[in-house]
Amino acid sequence: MSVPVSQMWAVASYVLRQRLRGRRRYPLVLMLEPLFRCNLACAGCGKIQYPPQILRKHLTVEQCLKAVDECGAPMVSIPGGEPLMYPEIGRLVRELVARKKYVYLCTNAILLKDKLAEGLFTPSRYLSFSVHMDGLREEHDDAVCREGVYDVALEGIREALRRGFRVTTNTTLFDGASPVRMQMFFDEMMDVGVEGMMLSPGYSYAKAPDQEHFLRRQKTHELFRKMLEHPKRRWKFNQSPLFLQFLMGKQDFECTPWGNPTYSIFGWQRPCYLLQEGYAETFDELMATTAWDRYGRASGNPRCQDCMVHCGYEPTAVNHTFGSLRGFRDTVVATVTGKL
Amino acid sequence: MAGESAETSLEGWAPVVGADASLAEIIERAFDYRGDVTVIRHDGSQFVGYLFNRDAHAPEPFVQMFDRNGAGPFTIPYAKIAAIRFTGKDTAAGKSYEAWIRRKGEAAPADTTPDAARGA
Repeated sequence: MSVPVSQMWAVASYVLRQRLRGRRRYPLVLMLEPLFRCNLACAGCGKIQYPPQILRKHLTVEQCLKAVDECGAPMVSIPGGEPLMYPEIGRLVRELVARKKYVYLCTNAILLKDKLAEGLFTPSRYLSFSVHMDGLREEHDDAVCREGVYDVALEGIREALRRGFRVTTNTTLFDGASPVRMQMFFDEMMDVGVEGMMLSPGYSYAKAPDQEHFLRRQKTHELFRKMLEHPKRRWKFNQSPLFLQFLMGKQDFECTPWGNPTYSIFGWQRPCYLLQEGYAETFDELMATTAWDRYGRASGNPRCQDCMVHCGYEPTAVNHTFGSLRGFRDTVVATVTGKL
Repeated sequence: MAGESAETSLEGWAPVVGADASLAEIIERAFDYRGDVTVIRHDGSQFVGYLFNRDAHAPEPFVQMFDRNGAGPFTIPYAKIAAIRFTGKDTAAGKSYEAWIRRKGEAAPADTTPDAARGA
């Protein structure tokens, strides 16, 4: 695992505080979507297909910060849309870092080199560029439906590392992914020098055009087992090892849909980052009025049966780590030995 | 009713409330639709925009919309809605993975044409 100790401590102490307060449901990562506009149109993305007037809209920095304060999660992930197209991304990140939030700026990195040259960002332990990389050149360019993006993203990653920024990658895996090619990809990212990698199987958004290629649960287990059964020591993952074990079929978790609440121009999204079943005006309203028992595998909701995505299950893994001796032991063993 | 696969669309659908579907069902379709709709009120007035939210379980059920210029959100109670027409372009239509593969396939032969065949 490659999560810095300071970040691990911030998350651990936050979780313990919530548990001591007896909070049954609490957020871990705020998914803050300041805009839906993007400079790519990936086949697996259901976020970008809105009419022009919606794509032109974005949150103000003040709206973003209000959401951050309402939510109180120690980590803020900024997906979108492409956040580097957000006109006030520099100011937003500065404000979040000043609040000591651990920020993952999720970018396709097409604009990263230019934005770094503009001096929009300052290296900080609180800021990580989480670069979207769906595999080696061929797989990535296929996933983003444009040739040449892999090379541009790699240039951006190298430039960010050269300037002293934390850089991680986030990879969504679809049906047909080759375990061997993915292992080559892990090697390549480690050679480039990224701090860690994040993996997740894709989810079949109702709006995503590529319904055929999303992984089903059994296939997910098989793929992740083949990829990670004998992980190299040099592979660093910027996520809970228990979540990776879950993807391999070695842990049985239930979804925590409130773990990564999502805020956008529409408000607080019910019930999770993936399902769009409506919006609440405030975070409290989201938590109090969402029928949480209708979601997750145990609920029987057909839309949740095959979902194994990080935004629902990584919070479960983190809670398991700090909520049970077995979970803590498994996490320590995986972290120390590098075995999953 | 129009199909819902990635290659078909509700664009242009003008359902008759009660005959084609209930108002609540049409609102659900409009909520799922990635394009502007026209909401026709009982008083005859119309509102055109993107319907992004609805709550059928609120004490007074409502929809929320941004208008064609992105202003809003505007709230309209179910009770004031007479009909909804799917008048805007479906911005999700024709953007399927299969369409991307087809486009790629169409582009590939040109790239692999032998130089001799190009008259080089």
